Amino acid sequence: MPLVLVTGINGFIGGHVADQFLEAGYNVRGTARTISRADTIKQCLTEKHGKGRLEVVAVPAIAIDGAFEEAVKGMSSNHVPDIHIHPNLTGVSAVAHVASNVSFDEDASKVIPHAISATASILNSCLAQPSVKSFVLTSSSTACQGPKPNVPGSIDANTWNEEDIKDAWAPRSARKERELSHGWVVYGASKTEAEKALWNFRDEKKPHFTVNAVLPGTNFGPVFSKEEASSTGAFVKMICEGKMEALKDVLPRSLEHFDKVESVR
Amino acid sequence: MHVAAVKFSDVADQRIFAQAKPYNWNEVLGILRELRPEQNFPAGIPDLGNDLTKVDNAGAEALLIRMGRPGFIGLRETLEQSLTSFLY
Repeated sequence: MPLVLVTGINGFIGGHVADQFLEAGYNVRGTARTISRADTIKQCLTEKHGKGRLEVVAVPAIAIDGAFEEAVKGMSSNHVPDIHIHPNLTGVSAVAHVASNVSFDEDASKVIPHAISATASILNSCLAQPSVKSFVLTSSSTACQGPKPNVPGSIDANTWNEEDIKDAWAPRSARKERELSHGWVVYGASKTEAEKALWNFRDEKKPHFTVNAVLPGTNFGPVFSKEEASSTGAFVKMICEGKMEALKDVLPRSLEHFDKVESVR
Repeated sequence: MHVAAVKFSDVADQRIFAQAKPYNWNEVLGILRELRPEQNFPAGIPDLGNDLTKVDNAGAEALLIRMGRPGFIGLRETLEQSLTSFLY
């Protein structure tokens, strides 16, 4: 079975993406900042799909050069793989790059260069690995535009969130009035720049693998662990606990919901 | 969507809009109240706008169908699954 690398496997989307690949018959190598962060998702997915199909490797800093090199090309000899049917030097045949900076820090300089570097770093590791056939980046609806309640408009493959890129770097005193908190503006800019980095890489390096970007909006659906619900996976829980105020602040008031969950039976 | 992008080698250079339809929090609250009538939910948010943006998601839905799925899942169904997963 082909082996797929899923970065950020411990996040809400990362866990579902890994689940979907396992369901479709692929084996999965997941990454998280530390192995223990992925203990819960690994346990859930192993119970669901059986032993020997999923392993987790640590990638503590995703934006440095070569961060994903071992994850993409295979483990060093002292790594004990969980996937018995794969020798431990197996390179992956595909990469789903889900991991992203979700700090929502207001400081663009801490978020945007990091997001661009993380995309470039993993793509360069893929370029050096002949086994890679395809690369898919988890982008975001925010790479096209932020929420615009009551404003008619349309979004297609040529739409880019230039507004957030421009506003993200504005000094505090010069920030224009936005419905979004500045952390969301910076996040939107970071997703836009990270996806642009993907397409620039394709144009410049002409890689041997296919590239695509998936742009989800807000994702609803089941969580694998109610204790470790994260990101948009926690929104329903927040509502049930009466925390509307947080959603009103944090979340764009109208976005999209999404498909992925149809997977989980 | 991620699986489709890997599985089908002819899917390349695409921006895949994995976005089913617009929603807002009051719509979500309304559905949650219907799904769990015995539970108390917070009040809605006044003057909440609607997303009027048209997203070019036809290609994404076609991929779902190609994967053997019926297409995008509905908001009610996905919220029910979410509630169930939280044991609400």
